[in-house]
Amino acid sequence: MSATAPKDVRTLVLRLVTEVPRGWARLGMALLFAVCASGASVALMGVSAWLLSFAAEHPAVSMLTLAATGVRTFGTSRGVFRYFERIFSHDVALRMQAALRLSTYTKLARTTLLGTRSGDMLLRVTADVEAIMDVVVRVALPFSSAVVVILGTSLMMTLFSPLSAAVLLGCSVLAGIVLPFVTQVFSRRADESIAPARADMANQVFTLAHNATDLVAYGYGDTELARLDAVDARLREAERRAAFTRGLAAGGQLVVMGMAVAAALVIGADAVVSGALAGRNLAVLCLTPLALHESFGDLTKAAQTLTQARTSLTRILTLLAVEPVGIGDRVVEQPDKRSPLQHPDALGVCLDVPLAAQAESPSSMLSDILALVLTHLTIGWPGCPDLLHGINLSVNQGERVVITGASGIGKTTLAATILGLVPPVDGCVHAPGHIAYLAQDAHIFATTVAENVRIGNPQATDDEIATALTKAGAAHLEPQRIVGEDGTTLSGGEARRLALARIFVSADVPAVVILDEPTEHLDQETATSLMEDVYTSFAQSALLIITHDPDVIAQSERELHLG
Amino acid sequence: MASPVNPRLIKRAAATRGFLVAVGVVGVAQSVLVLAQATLLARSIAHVFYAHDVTGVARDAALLLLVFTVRGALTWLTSVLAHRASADVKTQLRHDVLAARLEAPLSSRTRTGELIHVVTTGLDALDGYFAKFLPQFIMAALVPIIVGVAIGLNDFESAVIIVITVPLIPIFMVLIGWTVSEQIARRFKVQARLANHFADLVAGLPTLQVFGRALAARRGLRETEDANRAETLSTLRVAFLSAFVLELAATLSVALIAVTIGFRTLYGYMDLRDALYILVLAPEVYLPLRMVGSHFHDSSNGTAAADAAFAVIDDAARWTSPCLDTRGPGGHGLTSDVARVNKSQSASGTPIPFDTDSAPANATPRAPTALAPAANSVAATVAPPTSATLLSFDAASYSYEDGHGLPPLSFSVAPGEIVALAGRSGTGKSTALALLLGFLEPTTGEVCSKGISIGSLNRREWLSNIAYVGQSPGLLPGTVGSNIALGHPASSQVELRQVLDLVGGETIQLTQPIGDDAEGLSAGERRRVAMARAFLKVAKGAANLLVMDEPTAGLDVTTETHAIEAIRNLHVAAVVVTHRPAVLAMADHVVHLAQLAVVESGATA
Repeated sequence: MSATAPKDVRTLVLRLVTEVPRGWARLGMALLFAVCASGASVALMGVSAWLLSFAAEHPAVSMLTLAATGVRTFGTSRGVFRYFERIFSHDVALRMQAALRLSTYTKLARTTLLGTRSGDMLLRVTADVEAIMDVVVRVALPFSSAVVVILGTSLMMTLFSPLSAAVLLGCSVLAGIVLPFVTQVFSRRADESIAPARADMANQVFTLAHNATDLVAYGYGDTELARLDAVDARLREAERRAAFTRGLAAGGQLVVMGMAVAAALVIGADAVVSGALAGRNLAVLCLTPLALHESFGDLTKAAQTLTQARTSLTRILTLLAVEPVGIGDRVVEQPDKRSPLQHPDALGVCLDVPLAAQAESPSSMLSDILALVLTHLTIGWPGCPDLLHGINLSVNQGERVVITGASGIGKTTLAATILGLVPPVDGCVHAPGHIAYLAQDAHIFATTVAENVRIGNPQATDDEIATALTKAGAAHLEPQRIVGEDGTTLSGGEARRLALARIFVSADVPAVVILDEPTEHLDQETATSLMEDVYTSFAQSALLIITHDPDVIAQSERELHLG
Repeated sequence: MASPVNPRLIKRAAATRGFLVAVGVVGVAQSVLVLAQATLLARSIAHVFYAHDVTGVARDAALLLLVFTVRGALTWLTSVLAHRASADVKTQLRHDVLAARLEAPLSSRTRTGELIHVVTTGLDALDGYFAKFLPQFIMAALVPIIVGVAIGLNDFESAVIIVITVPLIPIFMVLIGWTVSEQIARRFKVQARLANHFADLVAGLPTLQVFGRALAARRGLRETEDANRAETLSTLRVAFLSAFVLELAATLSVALIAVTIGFRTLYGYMDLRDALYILVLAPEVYLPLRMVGSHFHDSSNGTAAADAAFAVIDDAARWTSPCLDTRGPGGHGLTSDVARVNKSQSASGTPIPFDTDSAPANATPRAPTALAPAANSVAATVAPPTSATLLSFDAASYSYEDGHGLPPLSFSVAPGEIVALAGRSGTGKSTALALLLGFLEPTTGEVCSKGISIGSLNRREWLSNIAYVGQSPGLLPGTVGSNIALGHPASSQVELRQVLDLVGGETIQLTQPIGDDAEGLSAGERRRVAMARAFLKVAKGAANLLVMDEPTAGLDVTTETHAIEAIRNLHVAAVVVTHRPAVLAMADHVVHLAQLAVVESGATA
C-alpha cells in the first residue's frame, strides 16, 4: 500500500486500477466490448437503413449481399459483445473491490479499535466499499463507452452530411452526457438526503423492533409507529424528488434525440434535393439516432448512482487518510523477551504490594508474584484529551481486582493500554507475563467452533482445542459446528465461553487476565456459573475485572474506582 | 422460478392496481406514438427518396418532434407513477411489518437485525420491481401485439417472422431459467458466504487485534476475495446467459426482418416506405421483451423482498395464535406440579399442591382452604379465583412448535398481593409473562382477570393496568428522564427523580442522554430506569398490577433491599419472576415452575 492516501474519489479509482494486475488491460477489454456492443446495435440500424434504401434503387443482387451479411453479423454480435462486456467489467470491478477491501482492512487493522466506539463505522465500511463496483460497472464503463460510440457515430455521419453529424453530436452529448449530469446536480440534494433519511429509518425500525415489548406494554406502540410513518414520509419525499428528476431526464433524452431525428430529416432532405447527399443515405442519417438513443437509457440512473457511490467512497477516503491510532495489531511478546520487573523500591511509592502475598509466595522472586504494575499512568487516545490521570495499581498473581466507574470513563481504554494496544500518555505499565483479555462482545466469526478457538493460537491441534473448550465449560460445542453470523446460533453464555476458550488454547499461561464486563447481558444463573469457572481456572493469574455487576464486585478483593 | 407478478403483492397493495392500469394505458399510448413515429419517418424519407422534393418534410419533422415530446412526457409520467406505486407499497409494508412486530413483540423468530434489513434495504428492492420490471412486463404484454399487428397489416411475411420469434424469447427464458436456477441459487449461497467474510472480519477486528491476529488475517482475506471473485464470475457467466439469449434472439430477429424486407424491396415486392416503416417498428417489438429479461433479477429481488416482509407479518399472526398441543388437555403428564407455597408453610418444608377447579382431571386435589392463613397471606387468593381476583392462571399452558414451553400453570393474584415466580431457566417463566401480558394465547387453560379471559379483553386496556419491567428492558432514544416519563407523561422532574431514587438509581442523572440501543447505560442501570418507569405508572395510579422479570439482577444487596422495600410500599399486586432469595422472601406467595420433564416424573410418582 502506498504511503499517501488518495485525495479524491477519482485518484482512488485510478490507484485501484493500477493495483489490479494488468488492471488497465482488463478495463480496456471491458470498454472495448461495451463499445462494440453499443456500436453493433447502432450499426445494425444504420446498415439496415442503407440496405433498404439501396435495395429500393434495384441494384444487382450481388451488391446487396455484403450489406446483408453486415446486418446479420451486427445482429448476432451485439449479444455476444454485451455478454463479454458484462463478464469483463464484473471481473475487473471485483478485483478492484478486493484491492479496496484489502487496503481498507489493512488500514483498520493498523489502528487500535478496542475501546473506541467504532461499531457503526465498522458496519458501514463493509457497505461503503461495495460502492466501487457501482462506480466501475454502472458509471465509468457506460459513460466511457457512450462517449466513444457518440464520437464514432458522429464521425461516420460526417461522411453523409457534416451539418447533420454536428447536430447529432450536439444532441447526443446533450442527451447522453449533459442531461445525466444536470440531473445529478439537480437531484444531488435529494440523493444526499436519502442516505440520512435511510439511517433515520433504520434507527426508528431498530427502536421499534428492539423495544417492541416495552412499547406495547406502555401503550406507545402507535406513537412510535406514527414516528416511523413520519420518517417514512421524509424518505419518500426525497425519493420522489429523485424519481421526478430522473424521469424528467429520461423524458428529456427522448425529446433531444427526437430533435436529432427531425433535424437529420430536414437537413438530409435538403441535401438530397440539392444533390449533396445520395438518396439512399437519407434513411441512414435519420434512423441511426434512433438506435443511438437506446444506449443512453441507463445513463441518468448511472449519474445518480455516482452521487451515492461518491458519498460512500469519500467516507472510505477519510478513513484511509486518518493517522493510525495506537499499534492496531497487538504484538504478542514472549514473556522472556520482557525486561524482568525491577525491585519494588525502584518503582517508588506506587507499589503497594501486600506483605502477606510476599510471605505466602513460595518463590523469592518478586516478579513471580507481581503480575501487573501500573505507575502514575495517564491514559488517553493520541490527539484527544487525556481520559484518566495518575492510575497506580499493582496486582499479584491470584488476586482479583475489579475496575469500576461510569460508562465511557475509559475502562476499556485502560485495558487497551495495559494490552499495549495504545501507548500510555504518561507513566508506565509493567507486565512481565502474558496478558489475556476477554471482551464482553468478543466477536464470534462465521466459521467453525474450532476455527473460532484457534484465533487464540493458530498452531493449536484438535486435541488442544477440545481441551480448551472443556476448560471453558463449552465442551458441548461440537468443534466442527458452524456458528452463524455474529454467533447468533449461540446463546450469550455460550458465546462468552467460546471466547474464553481462545484464552485457554493459548500456549502461554496468562499472568494477567482482563475480563471486560464478563457478566453484562447474561442472566444471573449463567453469569454466576461463568464467573465460578473463571475463578477456578485462573486461580493462579491476576484477575482484572471491569464490571458494574455488584455480585462480581462483592467477590473481588480490591476495587479500583475510576473517575 | 418465482412468479414475476406476486399476486399477494397486487392483492395487498391497493396502490399497485391503479399503477398497473396506468402503466397499461401508458403502454398503449406509447405503442400508438411509436406507430406514428414510424409512419412519419417512413413517409418523409420515402417521399424525398422517390420524389426528390421537400414538400411536407418540415411539417412531418415538426410532427415527429411532437411525437417524441409526448413520448418523453409519458416516460417521465411512468417514472413518477412507478415511484409512487413503489413508495406506497413500501410505506404500507413497512408499517404492516412493524405493526405485526408490535402485535407479537416476543416473536423471537425474526431477529431485530433481520427485521431492520427487511424493512430498509430489503424493501428497496421493490423500487427496481416497480420502476423497472413491472412497467416493462406490462409493456411486453401490450406493445409487441399492437406493433406486431401494425406490421402485419403492412407486410404479412415480417409479421410471420415476428409471430415465430417473439414466443421463442419467453420459451428460451423459461428453459434457461429451469436449467440454471438451481445452479445459480446454490452458487449464490456460496457467494453470499464468501462475500460476508469481509464484513465478518471487519466486525471482528477489535477481537483479532487483541490476539495480534488482525494483520495475519489479511492472507485469508486475499484468498477469500479471490475465491469470491471466481465464484461470482461463474455465477454471472450462467446468470448472464439468459440475457445473452434474449439479446441474441431479439437483434437476430430484427436483422432477419431487415434482410428479408431488403431483398423483397430489391425485387420490387415492397416499396421503401413500407420497408422503412417495418424497420423502424421491428426493434420496438422486441425492446420491451429484452427489457423484461434484463430486469428479471429486479423481479426476483423485489418479490423476494416482499415475501420476506409477508413472512414477518405471517409469523406474527401465527405466533399469537396457539399451536396444537399434541398432548391434549387433561392428558397424562399435564398435572401441574406448580407448588404454591404459603410462606408460613414453606418454612416447614411441606409445599401445598395447588390447583384450581378448572385444572386437568387427574390433578392433585386442591388443598383445603381451612389452612390457617399466615400473617401476610390473603385468604381470598387460596380460594378459587373469583371475580375479585385480579389475575388468575387456570392450568394455562403454552407449547412452542419444538415442544418446549410452559406446562400448565395455576396461580392467582389478589389486589395488593405479591407473587413470585421461581424456577431454573428454561422452565417457561418468560412464556408465563407473555401469557400474562396477552402476547401469547394459552394452548390450554385460561388466563383470566376478574373471571374474564384476558384473550377476550381489549389488549390495550388490559396492558394499561400493568406496569411492566422486562429482563432486558427497552429504552427509547432520548434521556433517562424522558424514558421514565413514559410511565406517566404528566409527571414533574421532581417526581421522576423520586422514583429513580426509590429504585436505587441515585447516581443516574435524569438528563443523561440515551442513544440507540441505550448506549451509555450499563445493564443494571437500564433495569433501574425501567423499574422507575414502572413505579411511576403504579404511583400515579395508572396501573394496579406490577409485572417484573428479574428486577433486581445487577443490583447490590443494599440497593436490592431498597428496591424491595419500595415494591412493598407501593401496596400493589405484583408478579415477579426472580430467583434472588431476598425477592422470594418478600413475596406473599412463591410459585415454583418446574421443567416439563420434571413435571412428568412428578406426576407418575
